[in-house]
Amino acid sequence: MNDRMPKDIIVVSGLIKRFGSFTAVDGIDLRIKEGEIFGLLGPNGAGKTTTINMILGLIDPTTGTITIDGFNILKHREVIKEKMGLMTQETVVDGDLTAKQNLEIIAELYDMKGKDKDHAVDNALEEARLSEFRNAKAGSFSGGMQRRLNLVKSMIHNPSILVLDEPTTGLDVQNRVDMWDRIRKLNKNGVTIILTTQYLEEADSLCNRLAIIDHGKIKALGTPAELKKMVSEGNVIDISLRFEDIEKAANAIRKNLGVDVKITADRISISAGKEDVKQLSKMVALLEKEKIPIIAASMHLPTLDDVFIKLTGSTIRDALGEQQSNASKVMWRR
Amino acid sequence: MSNIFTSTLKKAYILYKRDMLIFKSNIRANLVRTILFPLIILIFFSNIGAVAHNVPVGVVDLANNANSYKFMQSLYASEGGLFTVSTIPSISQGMAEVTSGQVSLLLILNPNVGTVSTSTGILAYYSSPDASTVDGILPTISSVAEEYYSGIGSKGIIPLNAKPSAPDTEFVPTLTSGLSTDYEDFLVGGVIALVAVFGTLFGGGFTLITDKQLGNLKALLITPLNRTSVMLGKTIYTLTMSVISTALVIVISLFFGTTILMGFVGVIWIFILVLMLTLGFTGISLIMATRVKKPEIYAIFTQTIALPLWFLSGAFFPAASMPAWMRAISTVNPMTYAVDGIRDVMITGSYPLSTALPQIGILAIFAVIMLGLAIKLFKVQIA
Repeated sequence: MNDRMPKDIIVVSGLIKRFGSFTAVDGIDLRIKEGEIFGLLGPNGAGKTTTINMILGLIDPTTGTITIDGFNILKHREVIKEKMGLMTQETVVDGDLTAKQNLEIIAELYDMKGKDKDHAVDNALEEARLSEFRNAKAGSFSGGMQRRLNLVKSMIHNPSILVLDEPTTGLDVQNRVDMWDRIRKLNKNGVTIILTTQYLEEADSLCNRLAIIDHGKIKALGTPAELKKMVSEGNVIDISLRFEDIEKAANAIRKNLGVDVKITADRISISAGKEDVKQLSKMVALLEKEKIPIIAASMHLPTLDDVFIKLTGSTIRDALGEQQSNASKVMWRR
Repeated sequence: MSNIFTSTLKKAYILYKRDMLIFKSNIRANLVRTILFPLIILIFFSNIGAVAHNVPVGVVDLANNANSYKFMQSLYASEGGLFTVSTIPSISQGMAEVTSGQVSLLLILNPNVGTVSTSTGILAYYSSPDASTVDGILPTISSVAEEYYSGIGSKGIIPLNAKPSAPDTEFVPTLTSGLSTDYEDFLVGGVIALVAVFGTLFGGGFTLITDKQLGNLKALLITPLNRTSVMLGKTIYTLTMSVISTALVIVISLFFGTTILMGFVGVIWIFILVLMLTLGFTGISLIMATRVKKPEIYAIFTQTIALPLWFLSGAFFPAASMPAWMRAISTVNPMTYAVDGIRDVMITGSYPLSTALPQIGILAIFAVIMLGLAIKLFKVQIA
């Protein structure tokens, strides 16, 4: 094997998970390379969390196999648990315990003791910039401090793979940027990172590769640039219109210009291809002729949002609310 | 194999330590919460003079003469809703009815009743759980006796604890009863059981459900951790909580003037009974915690189970005063046996192994079933 070529550290094949009659994960194949930041995108309830729970060994697949660093997850649960770390969307710290106690408990659960444990705890506190607050109750910390504590807590056993389930949800801008830096730094130190997020710009800037999942299936997989290319070779044209005009405008453009028009809440968007500028002026002229007032028109390179709309038919936020309750019900009921 | 065993224990201990650290971090609030409940119950309820209605009184008329007939008529005349009199053909049947709670007070009219010189003309028997009820009607019955048989005097009715020899009958008293009891002493046994059970419901099961809700459980389960450790840790934590709350209730009730007739040995018995009861209810609370999503729902469910069981255990009022169908439930209610045992230790002052072993045995069976189910259901839940 070529040693510059990173090996596949996680291999998922034919993964299916059913809860009763509901199929949460419907035949997923994935190869995650050692040392990469891999993103999983998709509306909640799409099967992201279920996939991650199976990779973490928290739930067993209905069929399919997962191997991590060559170990089958069902046969070597204990070995794999030592290799994996998890930080969930909710900040999980014991508010009634001090920062130090929080870390010590987890370190002990990973069978650390004596000097090793103290060393790991001290390092973690330092890393999270919480050394001077080591004996303060975690409940008294700000959201950002708790989040940092949470991150070092999930890293206390030096896992080679870290799963971050929406790590920046609910953080303010400073803390989000700080979290991104930390994630990049961990990755630079050789940690493979699996990231789910609902911020597509976050996935865009952090992930080496990403997969878009919907209805339990992988809809697309590749680098952010590759995925964007799927939408359009050139720019995407967005035209904002009055609500009542949208349908009419879309039909007019489809009929006269013969291009594919996507409709979202308050605008239409068109993948313009190479002749984007020419297309835009044609459209503006057409709408003027039809006496449809244009509120705004813009041209931009495709974003992951556009990829997402193309693949799942809705924006990521539209899908959030309705599916969230389903997802959590499925998780715990069984 | 033994490796798995020791590692399970070790992890359980770490989880237990975590729960205890959380408990300790709010120790004042937690202790006050534990004290408040029994304190309020004792303050408000111990001063209730147990007002009795239609207390069943059985009379065995061994004399069967004119005097006893007149006494009976007098007794019927003074019932007044306070008690109801029935006649019972034999002493053995009478004693059986006292024991089973069908009658609260048994009067035995000796053949020599009404003859001037005897002091044991009428014997009164009751079992200790009914003591407070009987206290309410004894004065009336005494006065009937005195009024009618002026020669007998106040010694005519002797409480059972005096252990009279009954020369005129074949009967040898087998029931033992403590010193005169009042409702407070009666209540303490029930309060100990109640506080232990409520402490249990808000112990391990409750922390498990909050751990689940806040995501802590997931964070713990991704560490190399046997799931049985989680159950074990929560169980040990719950036992600790019930030991602490029992100790507090005992101290409080001693302040209220309650006595534990069996002394220090009695305290040990109480702890054994409470721990056995706690184990079973820990199982129930853990099953609930694995089935239910929200703490509020958990609290409603568990209280719906615990409160009726408490009422039907004879903790608040004697089982004798319940209708038959309720008494039937109380015999299959594990809490009944804990309350009975604690009360024997505190009020009766004797807890022979022949009583202790069956009672503790029933609690142990209850515990094994509930904890077994809890471990099984927990595996199904998340594994």
